[in-house]
Amino acid sequence: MELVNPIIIHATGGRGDILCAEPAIRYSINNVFTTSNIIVIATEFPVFFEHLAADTRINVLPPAFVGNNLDLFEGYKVFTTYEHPTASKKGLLHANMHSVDYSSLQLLGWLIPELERYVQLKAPQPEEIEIVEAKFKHFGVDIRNTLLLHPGETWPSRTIPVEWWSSFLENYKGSTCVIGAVRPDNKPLELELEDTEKHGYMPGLLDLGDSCPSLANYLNMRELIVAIALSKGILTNDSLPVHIAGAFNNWLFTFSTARRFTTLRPYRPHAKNFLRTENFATKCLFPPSHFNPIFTTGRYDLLPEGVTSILDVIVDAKTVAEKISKLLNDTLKINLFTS
Amino acid sequence: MNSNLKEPLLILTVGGLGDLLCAEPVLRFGVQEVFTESERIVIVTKNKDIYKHLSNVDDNLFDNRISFITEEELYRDLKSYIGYAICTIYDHPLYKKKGFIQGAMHFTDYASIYLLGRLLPENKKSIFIQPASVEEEDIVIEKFENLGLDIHETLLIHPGETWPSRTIPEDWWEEFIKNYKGQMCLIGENRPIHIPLMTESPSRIPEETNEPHRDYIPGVLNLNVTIPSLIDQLSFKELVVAIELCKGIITNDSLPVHIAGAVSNWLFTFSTAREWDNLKPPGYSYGIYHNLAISCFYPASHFRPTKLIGSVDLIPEPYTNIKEIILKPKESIDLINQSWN
Repeated sequence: MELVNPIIIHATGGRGDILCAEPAIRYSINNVFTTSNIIVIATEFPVFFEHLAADTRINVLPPAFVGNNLDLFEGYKVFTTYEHPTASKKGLLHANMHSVDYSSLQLLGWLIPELERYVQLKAPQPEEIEIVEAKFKHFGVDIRNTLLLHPGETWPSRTIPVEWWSSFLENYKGSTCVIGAVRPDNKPLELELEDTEKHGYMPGLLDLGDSCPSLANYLNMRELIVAIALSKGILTNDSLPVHIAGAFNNWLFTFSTARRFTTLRPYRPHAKNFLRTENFATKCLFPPSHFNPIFTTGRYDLLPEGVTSILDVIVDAKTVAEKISKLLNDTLKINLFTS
Repeated sequence: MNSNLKEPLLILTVGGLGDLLCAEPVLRFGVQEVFTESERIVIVTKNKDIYKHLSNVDDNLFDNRISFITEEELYRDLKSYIGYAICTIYDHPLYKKKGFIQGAMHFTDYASIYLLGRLLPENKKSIFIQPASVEEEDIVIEKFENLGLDIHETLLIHPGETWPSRTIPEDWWEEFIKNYKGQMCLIGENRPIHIPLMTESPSRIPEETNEPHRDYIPGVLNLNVTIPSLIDQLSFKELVVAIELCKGIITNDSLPVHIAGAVSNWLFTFSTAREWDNLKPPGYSYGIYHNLAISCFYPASHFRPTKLIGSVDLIPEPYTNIKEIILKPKESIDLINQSWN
């Protein structure tokens, strides 16, 4: 019996969600859709899937191309990794699940094996490394000896204020550099949507002034991936850098304020304990009871009642600076010892 | 759009007994962590023994919100439940289908995404069974003593008769029993006389296949052996106690598997119809749960999300016998003895 042939997979959602769809798509291609000889992945971020393109069955296309040429895809079986107008709703609470698990359930209706749930990205190539090193060097930064900072401006429930970042920079003695993308001048943080029940954001970057070097807006997505892979580590409050860092297993420091850390921490193959992560949130703002599957129980992008500042649920900047310095120095010692 | 969270809740639990037991951590998490504002929670179940501890917060406090009814009682008095929010742990006629594939997942995960729309945290996935009292233990110990057995030194043998894809043939069990050198006792529950193992339900034929839907009433095999037997002699609670106190259990059915997991005792089973990761009890009791199957008829990749591709109850081609994918009896005995040594 010929099974599911050909197919199109819509990989949608936020950038972090699309990256988190990579394990489910990779596993499906290799283990489930084995008899499909044409597999189209429709996504805004083909860079997350370029390592899969060695399989000649795979075509990675922009969603706009698919939308404008629907007749080309007549007869295709349609799959999605996120809620999508072409798929039935499954009633999953995305904010209360790991995005890798969510994608797997959306795509396949089941969970891929635990050891397959890690994000894989194409390894940095020599010529890419050369370009990225040169870009950082231009700003006087040795990327391999630098902690990257990503002070993301996003939902209030996960945006860390500028004063916290400034205090961190005052206390952290190592090399740092800001990365990320600034929101275009005329775009507001919170989008105005026709459906007033829904809320959307265009994430950006906080302005930390001249307190440390910045390559904001200087790196394309692939260069961002390479930079994170080469750096000593990254401190971020946004999910995309979290999952990129998870793909390379260098130091990841983050703040799991808006979801439980177990649903944010990147999965790793074989050795979860080897993942070098530290969560500097002291608690998650939204307990399980906030997410009731029967009723809509409120927004999780805002600070909940009773919390006046996100600073109430994260570790103070000085302590974080000291902790990161220690962890990075200890790692250096271990590396020297083992080499 | 904040609804009235105090609205009463009807939780429908359906599935085999193993499935109901696997859903226990999910219902517990739901009642204690999610549905905290619901003033009344009615759990519809065919076996309230599995869940009755949920209404007992501790030895002194009772969660008065929770009550239990059977599905028959629900349908008999359906009007009384108008206005209740309905949720389920499984596909149910009163609830929309969600498109998850149960055969390719651990049932605890399946029930969790069905009931709560999320997965439980890893450290919340273990099944809880109310511990037995000393009196309850004494009753079970005495039942074994009456057969000349020390329960703590006894291997329980549960030769379940169930789907062909997970029924281990009589001759395998007979050879195992003949060669095992320790105390043994048969357990299980016979199917009522005149009830067939399998019935076909033509009205429920999936549209995309020509295959009839098959329902099974599990039982135990009638083995030609002369070892002690407590088949049909143990209540559900006594079964739990027996599995907790015994030296270990060998079984091919999911209910004893999950009881052994809940009480953290030695378990030897055959994960032939689903992947071992999707059957073994959650938690970190490494070394005490063993799979005697060397392969699985239906790996997760067998399941396509858009197409029905057949049932999982039969032995698939090119296999002809389940013995092709399980350890031989003597190999199983060696493994059990090595584990215990």
